[in-house]
Amino acid sequence: MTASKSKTNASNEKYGYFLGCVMPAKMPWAEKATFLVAEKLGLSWDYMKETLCCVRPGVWKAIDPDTWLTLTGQNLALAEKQGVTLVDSCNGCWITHYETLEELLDEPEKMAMVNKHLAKANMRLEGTVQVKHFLQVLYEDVGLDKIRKSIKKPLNLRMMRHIGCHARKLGNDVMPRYFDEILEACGVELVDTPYDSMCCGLLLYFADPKTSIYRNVFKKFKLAQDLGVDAIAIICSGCYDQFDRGIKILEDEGDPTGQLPQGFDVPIVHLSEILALAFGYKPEEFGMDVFRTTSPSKLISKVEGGK
Amino acid sequence: MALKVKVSKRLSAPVLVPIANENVTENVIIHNPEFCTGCMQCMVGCAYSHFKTFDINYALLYVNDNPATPGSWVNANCSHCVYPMCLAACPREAIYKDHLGIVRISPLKCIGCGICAQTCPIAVPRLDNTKKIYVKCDLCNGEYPNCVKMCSTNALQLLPRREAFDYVKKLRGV
Repeated sequence: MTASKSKTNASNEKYGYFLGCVMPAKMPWAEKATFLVAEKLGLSWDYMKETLCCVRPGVWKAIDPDTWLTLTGQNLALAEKQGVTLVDSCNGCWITHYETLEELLDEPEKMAMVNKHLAKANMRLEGTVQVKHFLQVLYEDVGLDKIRKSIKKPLNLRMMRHIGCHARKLGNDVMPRYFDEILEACGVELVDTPYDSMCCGLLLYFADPKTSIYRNVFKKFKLAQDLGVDAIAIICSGCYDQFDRGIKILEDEGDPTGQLPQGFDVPIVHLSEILALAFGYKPEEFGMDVFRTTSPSKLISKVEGGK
Repeated sequence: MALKVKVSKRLSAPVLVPIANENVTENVIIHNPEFCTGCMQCMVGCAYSHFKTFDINYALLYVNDNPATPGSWVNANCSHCVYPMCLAACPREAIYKDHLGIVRISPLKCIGCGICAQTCPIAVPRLDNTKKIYVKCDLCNGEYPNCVKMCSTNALQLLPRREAFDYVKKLRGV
């Protein structure tokens, strides 16, 4: 009954990339890099069309589970109609699609309820669609060997990694391991820190912005600054949203403890950017240095200097 | 009523509270710190389901930094004990067990003295600032608890009591 475990052949599987809300608004470079990476790996990759909001589980699951299932069911029905495997790189989007599909497949009466609502919009969900995380596509469908073969320029960088909460849902040995192994395949040296598994704070932001910024974001940034890493590697757009906002708030409002990392200059980079750089693409090709709160210029010069 | 209380640190020997009936809930909430990321979704979910707010100060379970190991989290949630100390200590007999074994505080009898919070080993009952009485986890009235539903990493689980007991023993290495 799992939504993503069945073995498929990556070469003839069609993927529909679900962008989510943050990536097109704040991370155009990651969007472009993802497409470059998919092209390089020979995936049949395109945007999933006519998407709606993923429907954030943290809010809707508490308020009204039936609304949550119905709204998320729309995306699943659309993917099913388009004949694509729904791929998310945002953990929030992935977990909401994954859990909805699991719940609907397990409980036929809920599936009937969702279909009753979807019928009003001339839609129908059978439950044959597959939902995958971008990491699952890279690791399970493409495979580490193919990724290693595609790497032209191993990066000589030290990074802290942040995978996010929902990617741990299947266990610490699944996606966190995929993430680490892919990063290491790109030649990245991972720095272990006690705050690796700590939440970015986004889930708490609407409830308690102060705690979420000053406890979660601040601790991570302070440590990254102290360790002098080249970047913080992420996969989830939601985490980027929170970090990006966190940098701005910490710079603007200051820190009551007086330990604020002044001029925080550790860039937050997406896994697809790291892969694109390792595959030999130039940073300009995916606009790596534009539209960012922390400039990755140091990282770029380090990558380009090490040719 | 004079209480004969036998205190032992062993997991297998609970503290006896003669005035409590031995009804217990079938399931109990268990927290595994290995998976917890401190996102506090459980607290948000709890606050919403009981008080219709996302303010975590209203939550009836608590996630805190573990001072011993930075980056890990400790959780305090009600176990609905077989022999609840809060029930034994309440001077107004406001705390009772219902037919499901859920330990509840009667809002009509509670005077907000806070003895329950002081006697609970993990201080679960908290003061409700508007009503000036103590409130605690009601296990979502026996339904699937919202905190477990909302947990983003499966760190919180609802397990049958026996299984939960073995799970905790394993976690603690007992």
